Amino acid sequence: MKKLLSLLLSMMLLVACSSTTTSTDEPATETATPEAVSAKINVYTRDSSSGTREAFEKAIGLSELTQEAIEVSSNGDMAVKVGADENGIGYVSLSTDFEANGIKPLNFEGVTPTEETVLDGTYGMQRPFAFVTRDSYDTPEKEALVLAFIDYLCNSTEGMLTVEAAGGVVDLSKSVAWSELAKNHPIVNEDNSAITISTCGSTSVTKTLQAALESFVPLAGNFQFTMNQTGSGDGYKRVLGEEKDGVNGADIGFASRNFNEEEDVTNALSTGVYCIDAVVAVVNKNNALTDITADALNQIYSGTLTDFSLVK
Amino acid sequence: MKIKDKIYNGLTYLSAIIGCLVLLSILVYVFGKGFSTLSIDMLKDDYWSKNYLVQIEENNEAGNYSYDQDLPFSSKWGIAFSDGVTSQKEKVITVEYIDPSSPLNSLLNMTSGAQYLSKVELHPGSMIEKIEYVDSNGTIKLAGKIMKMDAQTLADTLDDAQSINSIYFKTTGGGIRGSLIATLYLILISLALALPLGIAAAIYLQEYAKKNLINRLIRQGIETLTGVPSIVYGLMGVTVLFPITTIFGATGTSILLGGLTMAIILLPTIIKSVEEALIVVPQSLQDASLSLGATKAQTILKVVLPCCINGILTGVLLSIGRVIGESAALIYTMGTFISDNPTINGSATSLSLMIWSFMSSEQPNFELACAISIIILAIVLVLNIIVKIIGKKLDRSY
Amino acid sequence: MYNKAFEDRNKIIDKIFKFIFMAGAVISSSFIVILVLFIFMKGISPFLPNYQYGQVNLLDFIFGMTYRQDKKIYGVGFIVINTFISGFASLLLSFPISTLCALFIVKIAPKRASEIMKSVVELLASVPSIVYGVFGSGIIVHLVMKLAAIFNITTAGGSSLLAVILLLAIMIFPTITSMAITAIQAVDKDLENASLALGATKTQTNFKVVLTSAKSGIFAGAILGLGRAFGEATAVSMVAGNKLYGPTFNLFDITRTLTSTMLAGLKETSGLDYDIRFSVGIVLLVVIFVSNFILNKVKDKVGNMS
Repeated sequence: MKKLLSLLLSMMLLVACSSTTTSTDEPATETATPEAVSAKINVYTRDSSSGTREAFEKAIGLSELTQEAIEVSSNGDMAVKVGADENGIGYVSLSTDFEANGIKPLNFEGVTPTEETVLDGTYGMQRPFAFVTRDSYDTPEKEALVLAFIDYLCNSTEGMLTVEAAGGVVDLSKSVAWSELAKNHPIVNEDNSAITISTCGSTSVTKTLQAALESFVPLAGNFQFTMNQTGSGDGYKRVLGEEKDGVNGADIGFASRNFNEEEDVTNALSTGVYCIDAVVAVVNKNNALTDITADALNQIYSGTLTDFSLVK
Repeated sequence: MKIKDKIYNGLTYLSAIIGCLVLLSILVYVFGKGFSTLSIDMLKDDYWSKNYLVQIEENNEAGNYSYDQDLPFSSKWGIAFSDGVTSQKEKVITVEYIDPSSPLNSLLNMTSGAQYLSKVELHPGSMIEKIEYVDSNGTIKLAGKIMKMDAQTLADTLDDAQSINSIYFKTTGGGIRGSLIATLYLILISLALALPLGIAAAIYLQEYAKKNLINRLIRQGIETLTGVPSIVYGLMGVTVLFPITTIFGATGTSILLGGLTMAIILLPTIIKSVEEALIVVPQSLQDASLSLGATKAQTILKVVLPCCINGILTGVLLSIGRVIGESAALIYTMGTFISDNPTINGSATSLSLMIWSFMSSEQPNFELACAISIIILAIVLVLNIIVKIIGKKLDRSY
Repeated sequence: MYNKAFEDRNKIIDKIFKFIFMAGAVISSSFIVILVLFIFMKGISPFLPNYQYGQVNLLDFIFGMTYRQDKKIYGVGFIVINTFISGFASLLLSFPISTLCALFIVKIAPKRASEIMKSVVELLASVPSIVYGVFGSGIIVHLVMKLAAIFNITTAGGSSLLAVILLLAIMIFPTITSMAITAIQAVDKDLENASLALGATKTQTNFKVVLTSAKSGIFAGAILGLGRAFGEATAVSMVAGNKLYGPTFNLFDITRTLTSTMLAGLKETSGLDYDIRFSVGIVLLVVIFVSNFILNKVKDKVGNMS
């Protein structure tokens, strides 16, 4: 009995050791050989409240999404999932770090997605990052601070550069140094550490918005901010719409598309577009595909084209 | 026959080994991935980076410094940089070294407010976002990450700077202090509510309740609570309990709402452990107290309850473990925004929620998730050991 | 006279305390009523004729095989089936291992090994589900991916029915095992001795006599484990993948369970998408309570047979 036990124990240790070696493997290293796997396309799409999805489906003229599609909850989630799936195809914001996630951006209709092609309009799949403020705020200080931030975000050299460094596409030609703009906003010379600005809406804006907010904190008296980005659908809803006074009410709403007719922003103190972003179709970095057309994407996303080898 | 027996016995051994292996692989994975991230700094740091805008206090002019390491170095300003990547997989320029006599050692905060013109130290590890400087032609220029520079370009650019107007830098962040505090609040609130209620209920069920339909129903109700999955409690929290928290000034998801929800989840656990302790209190003790003229309430409060302090403690410890580990119910009620300065009325994340927060949103960070998992596991393990010791004591005292 | 007043006062205090204790018990147990009532009220609203976001057909909801928020199609029929599949499959996987492990701990293992195994089970039981979730999305999905590659199948990054089943099997293992340990410990010693005296070997006794007499308790553990499998949310939603239609029978295909659906709809905070979560919540409660009820009835029958 004892012998058996010791034998088993040693076996256990052995198996444990071997299991540890497999368990510390990085996901990136676990790439199976492409040719060993059938090339059936796994279609990834965003959840229904996503502005990226709306922009993407509009750009490829999609009317009916295939039932086989896998829904993911955010831009980062999409990047990670496609990065882990040899046969995955998805779409992300241009500001996404492709390399770090193991994904490859595809040229769309022969145009490489870059800042230049987005700004001059040759790259087709693009959408604006829009914002909207409330119609009124609890305190005049908060109102002044929100408007100061909007001015910083949209018009100042520093703000726009920050957005650009975070992946947004901006037109710097009309930018003004913040030191000039700040004269119109005496609020930034106060101690604002008691004020919290809350944002909501699109998840795609997270990276650019967070960079802008963080850089604005030391410029405007250390105000606090909370970001609750859940999807473009909530941008208007939680700032001016039905939820403005509810659990999730917020100060500035964002959408990764223009606000539509149902979203009446005329009452807002300020609304506009702070940068442009491109939607980029992505595949796993091991995929041989480099170019794709709107037509091919339409076929893939409607489920009529299911194999990468057939993509032309 | 003998062989058959051996096979059967072997099967049980195999099952036990599978159980061990599962635990082992979980521990190995969590420790292997998270241990290097774990540090004291992580416990006391903020999750979000701190942002500083600073100016140079004195000697705002280029000098001549030297550095023996092979890193991008600005000899005029005595500062070395390197290219780094944050846990959010973002490229950054990190400060590696500052010469002891460099003017960059005396920096003043430019942000208005209480900290205006107070001293700020630029530590190695901080990330340079933006530097506003005056170049050799006297024009004001910008440098740093927002100009999409890497470490080498930044160092070269600085060598052209005659004076520096301002530096905007960020600290690393990635700490869990806020979530630790929020977890503590959550534990206190939920226990403050669940403990009195649970003890009262347990006393009633054990000492007063006669065997009739109503009391059977009461007991059945409490037992059914155990079978309800925690995600359903979350739904209950946002509908039933949210109006209560608005009285206290909460406008959305909050620690208070999470605490209220947790209190209900904890009730069955607390009632059960207190009841188990009440059962073992000898009837003779109560009889003695009653015969000395004490009323029943006095007997229970002054004689019986002190005897089951161990049972109550067990309930408390088990509850703490439950609160720390809970996630599904709290996602609905506490929100998923990681807060560095949690308040009772604001949304914040407990340790578990924090894991959920960055695992489910942008860029999952397995290292930090595993590091927090280690902390959670350690706390839960210690709690369980204490419960066991108390249990053994309880066995011995009667 | 004074004494009388004193006694009266004491009596009143006694009554007050009794009332407080009783109130505690009543409040505690009334939570279940409040919970069911409110979730029911909120969850039933989308099916009522004057629902503000447009009435949903109750039958389409219950028997629907597609769940697409983008097209406002809400059918949970396949989700219920998926939940049953993943729940029962994980039970099937976990149950024999748990039972044998419990038998090992109580009857077969040497004292030290038994102590260690007991601690292992207790430790597994105390691991929070979020940690299982991290483990699942860090390890299990990659194991599934590797396994799938052997069969030339591609998976959605490892998120799959199989990953859900494996994860749940691990999570309910300690629940079933600890219940089985209690049940096996409670088996009458005389019964065992009788079996041994009749010439049965120790192993025969353990498997034929001990397990049979403990089956009612072991079964109760299985029911508890199944409840946990149905209700587990965070960990499951980290590996499920959320399919739009179903049911899912392919182990390597992504799936959607009731709980993962409830967490996936998290973004919405009002409107139909929000309210429908409560409807899904009702379905989850019904699934758990009904399966508990039926299995308990079955358990009683099985328990009476021996």
